[in-house]
Amino acid sequence: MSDPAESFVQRVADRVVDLVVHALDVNALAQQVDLNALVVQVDIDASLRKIDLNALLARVDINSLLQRADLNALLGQVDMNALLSRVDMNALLGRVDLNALLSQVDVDDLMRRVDLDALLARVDVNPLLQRADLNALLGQADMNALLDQVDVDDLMRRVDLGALLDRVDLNAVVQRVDTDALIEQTDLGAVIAASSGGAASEALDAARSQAVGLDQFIDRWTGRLLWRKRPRPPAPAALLDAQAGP
Amino acid sequence: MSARTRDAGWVSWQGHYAGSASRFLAYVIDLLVSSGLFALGLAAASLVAQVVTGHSVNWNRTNIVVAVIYVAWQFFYFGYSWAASGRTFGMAALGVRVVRADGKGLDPWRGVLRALVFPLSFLLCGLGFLGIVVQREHRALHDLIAGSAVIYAWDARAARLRFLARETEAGARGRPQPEVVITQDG
Repeated sequence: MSDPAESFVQRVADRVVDLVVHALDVNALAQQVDLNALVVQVDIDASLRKIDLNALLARVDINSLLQRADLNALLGQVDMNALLSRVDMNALLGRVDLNALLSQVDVDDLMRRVDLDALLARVDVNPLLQRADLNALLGQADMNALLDQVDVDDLMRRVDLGALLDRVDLNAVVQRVDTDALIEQTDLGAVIAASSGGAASEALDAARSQAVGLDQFIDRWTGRLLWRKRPRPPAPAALLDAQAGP
Repeated sequence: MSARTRDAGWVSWQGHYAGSASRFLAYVIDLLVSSGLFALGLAAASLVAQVVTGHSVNWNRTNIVVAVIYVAWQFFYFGYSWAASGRTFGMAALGVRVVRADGKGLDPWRGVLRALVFPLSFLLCGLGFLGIVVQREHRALHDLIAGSAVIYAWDARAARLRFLARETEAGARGRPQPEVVITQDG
């Protein structure tokens, strides 16, 4: 391109173009163009396919864009009901990781904000208890752990033992006591032996028991000799009633 | 202390009709005691009379007066004992007591009546006592007349406890003890 002729031609061409451009009335020219017909001939899809949208969006300052947007006005124009009616809530909730969501919740803080008294005041406990399976509930309870937490001493201090004992049939309790075992296994036998006389009471007990044994022997044989069918009454009626007693 | 876990074979015979052996032994004891007391009293009276009169006095039961006093003393001994407490010394020793036929406490007049008709059982050749053996309620003739009965009045249960106590003591010393057990079947 160092040829002087070529350089000259180049300058001439530039000058010509410049003159032509200045001579053209671009606005008038644009008005004569049928833009609709032009647009119809353009293959928009093909054009869009050529656009690198990612690169384009990367150049967009979204924050600045959002700051300029009047979101309130935008949302005011949205028909929320229609929008929500199109949402499949089940599918939406199915995609939510509730565990992760709940792990982020400060339950303590949440509970502090709850007015439990007001909440419980609105609860009708009776129907709630009627519906509860108390047996199943108690079956799941760790009674040992529960009892470990009970202050038995304090509990016993609050018990009216007098009223409690008034309701106890002590005679029935005493009748269930194995007195033989009690005497054999404790020092009570020594106490009784020391307090109930010596040889005299021992001889008297022996004589009486031997006499009763002899009575029974004679009675049995008499019954056999007399062919007695019905047993004898063991004691007078009043004493039998007293022995049968309460 | 534990709930009763084994069969309590022993029972309290208190209140049951007393048998012939117990009653006979009680009567023997009473006879010995009353006669002994009478003999002592007679000896004392003889001594007093001898001191007062200065003569030798030898009263015995062959004397008709002494015999009458002896019979009266027997009435008193048995009548007072039965009327007062329903038992004589011998009966207390054997653990028997006279009660009304229905088991209630003996009225004093029944006690006296029983003492008065008691000789009848002897006078009928001892047949009056046969009721003690064969009658369903072990009642002799004088019992039937006086409306009384004789029952065991000793607490066999207490005796059993005393026996166990002694057994425990003997076990501690390694000494064997005779069994004193009253059972339902004798």
